[in-house]
Amino acid sequence: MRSPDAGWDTVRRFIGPILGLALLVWLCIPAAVRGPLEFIFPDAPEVTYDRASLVGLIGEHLVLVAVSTAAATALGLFIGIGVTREAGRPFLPLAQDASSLAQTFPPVAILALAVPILGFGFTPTVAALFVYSILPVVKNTIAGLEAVPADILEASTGMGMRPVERLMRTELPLAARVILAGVRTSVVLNVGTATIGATIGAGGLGRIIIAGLVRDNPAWILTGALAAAVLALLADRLFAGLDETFYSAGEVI
Amino acid sequence: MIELRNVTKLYGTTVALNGISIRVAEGELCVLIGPSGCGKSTTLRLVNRLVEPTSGEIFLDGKPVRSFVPETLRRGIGYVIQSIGLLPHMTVEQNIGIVPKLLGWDMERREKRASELLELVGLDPPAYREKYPSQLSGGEAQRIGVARALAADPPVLLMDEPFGAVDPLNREAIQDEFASIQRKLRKTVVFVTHDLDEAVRLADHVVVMKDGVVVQEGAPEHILEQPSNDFVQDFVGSDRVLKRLSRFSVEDHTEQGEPVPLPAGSAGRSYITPLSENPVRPVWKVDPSGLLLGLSVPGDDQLFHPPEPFWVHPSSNLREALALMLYLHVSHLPVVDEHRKFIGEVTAAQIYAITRRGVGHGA
Repeated sequence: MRSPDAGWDTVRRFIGPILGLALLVWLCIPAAVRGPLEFIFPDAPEVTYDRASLVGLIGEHLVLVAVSTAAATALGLFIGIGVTREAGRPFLPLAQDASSLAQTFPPVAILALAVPILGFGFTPTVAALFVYSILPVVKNTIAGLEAVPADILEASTGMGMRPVERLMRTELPLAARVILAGVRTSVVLNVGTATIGATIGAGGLGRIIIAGLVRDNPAWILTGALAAAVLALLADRLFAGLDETFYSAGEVI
Repeated sequence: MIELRNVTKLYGTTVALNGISIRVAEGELCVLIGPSGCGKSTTLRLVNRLVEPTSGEIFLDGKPVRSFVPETLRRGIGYVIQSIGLLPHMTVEQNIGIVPKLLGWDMERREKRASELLELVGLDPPAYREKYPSQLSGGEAQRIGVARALAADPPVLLMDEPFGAVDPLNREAIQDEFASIQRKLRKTVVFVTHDLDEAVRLADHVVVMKDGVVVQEGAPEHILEQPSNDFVQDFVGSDRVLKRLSRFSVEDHTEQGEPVPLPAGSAGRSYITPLSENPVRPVWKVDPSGLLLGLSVPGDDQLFHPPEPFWVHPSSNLREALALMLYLHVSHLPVVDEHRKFIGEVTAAQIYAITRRGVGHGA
């Protein structure tokens, strides 16, 4: 339903992402950021990072996040669905505990453990992010599926849906919103956590932050941290937008 | 035809059903009634195999239900539950189309069927097709629940307190609508309720259950007339005479009256004196075309207009007629059609005779 405020609502909804995007573009143009950064950090030797373009780093960062989250979502959904089926139900507490445990592991520790097995670079970082981000997906998949009202399940079964039909037509559509929220949490987490991948040479925005730490250059740290924060914000807004698109007008669940 | 033969159901050591046998004839509406925990819902759910019996056998048209694949069996049986269980992410049309879709009907056929059914349950198809369940009132959702159960035109319907969540006012309306749908469609229906008025209103056959056994079964008027033991007697209540009256229609008990035509345009006087103080048979006054105008007492041509409505329709039942007699303090009521055309009269003496004799046939 469109109200007279709808136009203003649209402005409000898009103002954050537009500002974020503008900030990101600005950060990507060395000539534009040099002045302000030199003003903030007059002692820094060189305020812009010239060894790689920020656009390239952002691209690497996004690939890290996308691959790890996609894998975590796939496995998380599989586990969440599996342990809420009749045959898998005995494993429900185990799945919940295991995924909570994964969250309590510091990602740096996972990286350190992954290096001897997977070596340096992209793969161990994706593995660490994957392990780290599986929890919100599993947790929300279980929560979403368990929250489907018993009478709706009863009606679905009573109408003659097979278990798979019931899952696809009743349970997943009703749990989708909660599952989406879980994926959203894991994406946002991963955008931040992915920066540590640079310590083992995975690339991404962490590279500029680590370089700043090593070379004692706060301008680089700020640039990398700002870019990562804006990416996290944009990812969050993207999912908020998806949520609003699917669950607005009339479809009050 | 549905038959349960000597069915027992145990949950652990708890006996839910203890060797019950029930037959529901084709086209018959069988009401299972009893207090909570008597096993009526379990009995219903045995038929579509949502519950499997511990021992005994259930037959559908002579075939044991366990010989069917459960999903195939369920697609051929309409199922309505108290909370309805409409899928909140689907429109009304999609909800009605669930079983047809499972059966592989194409979209066009499903949409056509949904429109037919919306009309059948008294909802305007264009206005309701695209609505979501959250936009429906309780009564509307209940109607959609019935429409959905009828979608694939199953010969059998299972209804578990289908109107239990509707407020009393709408419940009667929806019961009447369902009764008229059932008169048209003649499904074999197993209907669970704990509301005796509902049972009396809808049932062809009533099965009274308690603690997992059948206590008494028969036509509703029979159970109201002769409760077989103290439990049933208590259950049907001390007003069972009144409840029983609702099984008799005015139509079947209309006596021929002799209306006296008045010339068109005659004026009358408003009704003042209650007739009960002067319990004589009134003379019904009609206009030349037979429309009821009022009444007069024998020997006096004065025309009286009692407060309206002072008549009953053939479709009313004797309980309603008696209530109106008590309200108006009269012993005779005119029976008129929907245009107020005089048909006959119904008398208190007849009603007393029915309650005393216990003869006659239900609606």
